[in-house]
Amino acid sequence: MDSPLSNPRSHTSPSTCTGPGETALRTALGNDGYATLRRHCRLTDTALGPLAELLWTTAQEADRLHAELRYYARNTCDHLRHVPAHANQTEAVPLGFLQHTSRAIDVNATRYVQQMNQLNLAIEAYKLALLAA
Amino acid sequence: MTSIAEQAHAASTFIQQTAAASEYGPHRGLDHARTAVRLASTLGLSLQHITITPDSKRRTTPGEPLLAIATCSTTRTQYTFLARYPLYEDEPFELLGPCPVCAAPVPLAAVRHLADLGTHLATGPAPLSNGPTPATYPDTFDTDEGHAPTCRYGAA
Repeated sequence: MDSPLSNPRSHTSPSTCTGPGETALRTALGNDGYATLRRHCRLTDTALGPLAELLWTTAQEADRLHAELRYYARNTCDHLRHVPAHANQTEAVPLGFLQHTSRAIDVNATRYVQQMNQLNLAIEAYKLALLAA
Repeated sequence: MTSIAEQAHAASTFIQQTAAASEYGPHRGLDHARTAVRLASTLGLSLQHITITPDSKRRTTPGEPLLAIATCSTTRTQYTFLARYPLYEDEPFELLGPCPVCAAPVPLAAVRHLADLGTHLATGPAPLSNGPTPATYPDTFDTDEGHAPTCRYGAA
């Protein structure tokens, strides 16, 4: 069974507040530039369209990875709280699960850092394309 | 008959109260409550007919899969749904039922709305041969951790 980590998604469904990807876009481009980016994503007759789309999806993926990290952290926090109360029940102490989640968080955190680096590169490329347009 | 606004308010209150009082902790409790509301909305049921429990058998993936049991108020028939990734609320529920090969409870249909359940109940699971799994089964059927160890399906 593939985990969500190995299945990049084309959209982000977790209902969260604004993620770091979108925040990075707004900070780099400003609110007007952010709105322009959304319009550029619909362009098909210039290279700016695919570049804007790449920037948008890169930010979305960063937000998805961030949402997953928060989810794992919250979930693990509750599991750890749960352990002392049920320490006499082997079934209720998911140590294997916690170890697995720990590894998953490591992988996810590494991917998140990569994605944010990639996002910064995409932002720079988009800004250069705007100057040349 | 309550208004849409009243039902929406009740769902929101249910999520807050369930998360706060959950024996599994506030964050897992929040996932449980949101999953219950989503399944109740999907099937057009009252929240009191939905029971959520963690699925320890499928804890091999990050996060925590949830089992949602819906009880029919008329016939008392129970339907068990799997929310494999509760974080992703656009993922379909997986209806669990006996594997045609090993009889263990495994995903037999992906349910995004009531009509998906209706289609499955009307046709039942397609017969399995030695060839590819019929398209009516969800993608997760072949490798689901719920299959018996002796079953030809299940995690490798």
